[in-house]
Amino acid sequence: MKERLHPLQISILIYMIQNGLVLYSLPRLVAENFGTNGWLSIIFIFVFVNINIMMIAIIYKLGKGRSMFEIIEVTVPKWVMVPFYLFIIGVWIGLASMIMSAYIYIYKMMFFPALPASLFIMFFIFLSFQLLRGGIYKMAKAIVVLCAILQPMIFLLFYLIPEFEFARYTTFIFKGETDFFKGALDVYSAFLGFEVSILFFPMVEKKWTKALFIGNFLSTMVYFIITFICFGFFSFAQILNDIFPVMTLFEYTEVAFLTRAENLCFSVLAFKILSIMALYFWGAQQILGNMIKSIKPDFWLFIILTCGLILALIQDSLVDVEKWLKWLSYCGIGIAWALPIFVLCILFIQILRNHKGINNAK
Amino acid sequence: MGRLRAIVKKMVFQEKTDSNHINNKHHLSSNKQASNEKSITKATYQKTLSDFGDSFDLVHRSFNHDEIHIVYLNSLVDSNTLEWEILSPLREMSIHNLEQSFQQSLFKQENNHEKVIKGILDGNVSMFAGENSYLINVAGLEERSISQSETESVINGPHDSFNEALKTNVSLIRRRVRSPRLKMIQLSVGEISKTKVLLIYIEGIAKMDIVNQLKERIQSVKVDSIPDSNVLIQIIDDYQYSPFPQFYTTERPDVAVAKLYSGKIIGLTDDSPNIFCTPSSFFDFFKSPDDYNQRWILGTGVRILRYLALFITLILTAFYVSICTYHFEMIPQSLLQSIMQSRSRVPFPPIIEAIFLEIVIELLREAGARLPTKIGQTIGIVGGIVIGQAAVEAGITSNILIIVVAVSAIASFIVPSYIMSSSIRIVRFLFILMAGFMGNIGIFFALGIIIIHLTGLTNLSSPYFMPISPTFLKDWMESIIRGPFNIIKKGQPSMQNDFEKERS
Repeated sequence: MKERLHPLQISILIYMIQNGLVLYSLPRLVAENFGTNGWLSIIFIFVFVNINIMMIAIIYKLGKGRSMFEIIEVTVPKWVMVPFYLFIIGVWIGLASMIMSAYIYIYKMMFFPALPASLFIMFFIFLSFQLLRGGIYKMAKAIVVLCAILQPMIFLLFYLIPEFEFARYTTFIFKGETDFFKGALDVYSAFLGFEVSILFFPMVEKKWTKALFIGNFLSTMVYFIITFICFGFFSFAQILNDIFPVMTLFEYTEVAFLTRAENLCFSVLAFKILSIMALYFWGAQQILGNMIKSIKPDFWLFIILTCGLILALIQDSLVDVEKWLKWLSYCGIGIAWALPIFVLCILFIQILRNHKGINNAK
Repeated sequence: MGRLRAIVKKMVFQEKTDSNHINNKHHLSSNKQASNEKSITKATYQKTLSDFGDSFDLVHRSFNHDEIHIVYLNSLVDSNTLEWEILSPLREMSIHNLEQSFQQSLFKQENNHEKVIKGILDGNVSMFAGENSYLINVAGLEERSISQSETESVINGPHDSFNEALKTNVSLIRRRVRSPRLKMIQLSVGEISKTKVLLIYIEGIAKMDIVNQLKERIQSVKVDSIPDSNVLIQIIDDYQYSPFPQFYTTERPDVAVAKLYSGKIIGLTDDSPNIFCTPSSFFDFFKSPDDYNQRWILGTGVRILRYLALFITLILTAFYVSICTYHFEMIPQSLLQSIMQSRSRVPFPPIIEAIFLEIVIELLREAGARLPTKIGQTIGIVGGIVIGQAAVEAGITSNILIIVVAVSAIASFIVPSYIMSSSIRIVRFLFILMAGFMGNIGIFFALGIIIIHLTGLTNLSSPYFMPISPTFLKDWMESIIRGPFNIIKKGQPSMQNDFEKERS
């Protein structure tokens, strides 16, 4: 009797783990790098991400449900892979830790200047531990509910509709001081997180790969709607000059008992940050567990969380964190592309060998 | 010829002598056996008397020139039945027509000493006559009549509730499920108390592996006594350290029967009016029979209101603390003025103020629950109005907080299950502390802790947060919305099937 991840859970997992923090600066990023009507760029990036996800789906299909490690280790000895594995683990732990730190520093800067960052870090690590110790199945169950709590915030956007003007859109597309390549990398980092799904193979039900596309589609929709509204709410110059335009967007909300819901929205985003952290840590734990199978997963968890904690405590400003985050995101994008391509290559080699073997036998 | 006749005669004589000898031997042995058995019965009788010692309610009498002895506990037998069914016939009968003289349904031969003792403790009269001992059932335990439930009231629906007598409780279920598919398993828990526990399920609807799992778990309980179902379920819980109840308990037979029809197993404990039900989910605690006894739109509205009440109970006071401590900007300008005015006289930080008032409310609730109904109401009025108003006038708390705490207390009482509502009220303090410590993000941290905890719980290996997580969209209708009857599925919920399928 073994529990399996339901496709719906996978969709929500993918939606929750795609980097949510970038959302707050995404309108500025697209405006800076793609110029006027930069919100359209999200569609192009969405296509690229789908290609990336398709590679993972193909691996699952060609590998017939075998785990990534099984596929690799049939052809390549484990010791050869160790440095690559360590690199992936490092990047994933770093990403989780830096996303958490970035969130905490933004929170501190905006709402809580007096509170020590280490306290927040401790809480995040504690919650990640709570999530992780139940394994992926319990984690998925919790993340589904966390997602349900997060979603009502989208309805606050309806309060912004009276201020929305189509006149703010221009007929000029992608005009301005643009840098498409850097822009593509920055926007692509907003979609990162799905690459961990390459480790899901042994834990899923059949016909689950469409769930990855659905999850990615949900993220894209949220990014698209918020960026689109931002472009219609603010002028192009305003977006360029605001570090976190989405934060400013929520500052304008006003409900009967509540004004300036940006604090509430940003606080509830903690659930997304938590999900991202937990999943990256889980990915690192899986790879470490595969490298040395004799050690209990809880021990790896302890090591990973300690590394994450130390990495987060080393940083002492948002500028540092963003610098780290930028480079780690680029590495993350590299892993998101390189890992599936590498596994696909190995699979093709294996398939070719098999064909040769069959022909020789004939 | 004469010699031959003599031999035959001798043989016949020998045969006769042999048979006489055998008969004599047999007669002797049976006499010996009878006296042996008599002595065994006498020993059992003596042992029974010595086991009970000089119990105040122990009665032992002899009839028919000390040939028949009876022993019983007069606190457990019905004195009328005893007189008419046992004592009167015994005065006239002889030991030989004993077995024909009693109603066969009440009369049982039982020579095992342990069982005789157990029988006496169950309200039987034990009779020692000749070589046998018997148990005659004339139990007449004092019991409460069937009345309305105090903790689970229903406006429009059946008003009967379980009482402490197992037999009565079973009859309340039997008359609602008139089917031979209603199965019962009797178990005994408690090394000393030997409390009867009855597991009831409908064959073909309930999952047998869950029945067996529950049975094994109850059989493995090693305690001296089980005073109530609520104690038993805490011992057999999957997560004993959780503040949330995992087994759903009820006093209402209609709820118990509805659970049986939905494929669950119910457990009855002797001397307890509460029955437990498994596998239960978090959402079961938010359902009330009233939801089904009124139009579906109203039922749905009330059910959604309960979930809203859950959020209000958990978050409202914490949110007040958070906003008044850290996030003033979130209050609209018009409201900010009145809040500031109200808080201007209070010398404490919002968290102290809120915790103080929450504790007062908890004191009032506990006092109201323990005191007799009439005084309880008075305490409510004294506490609610007099203390509340005096506290505001004395400048200990603000008006707004009184409203906030009162609303969150009322909201907690909307939850139909008393044990769940108590759990939620305790958990609320975590939210208040976290809000006082870290503002809004503290509230979300607390919410995160609770969600992670709840989604990780199981009740007899069945996820506690089903059908939300793991998600079974088909069953949302049943858990969150009370749909119209032509849409609500009959029989076993699909989630249980799906979950089994998912795990296999």
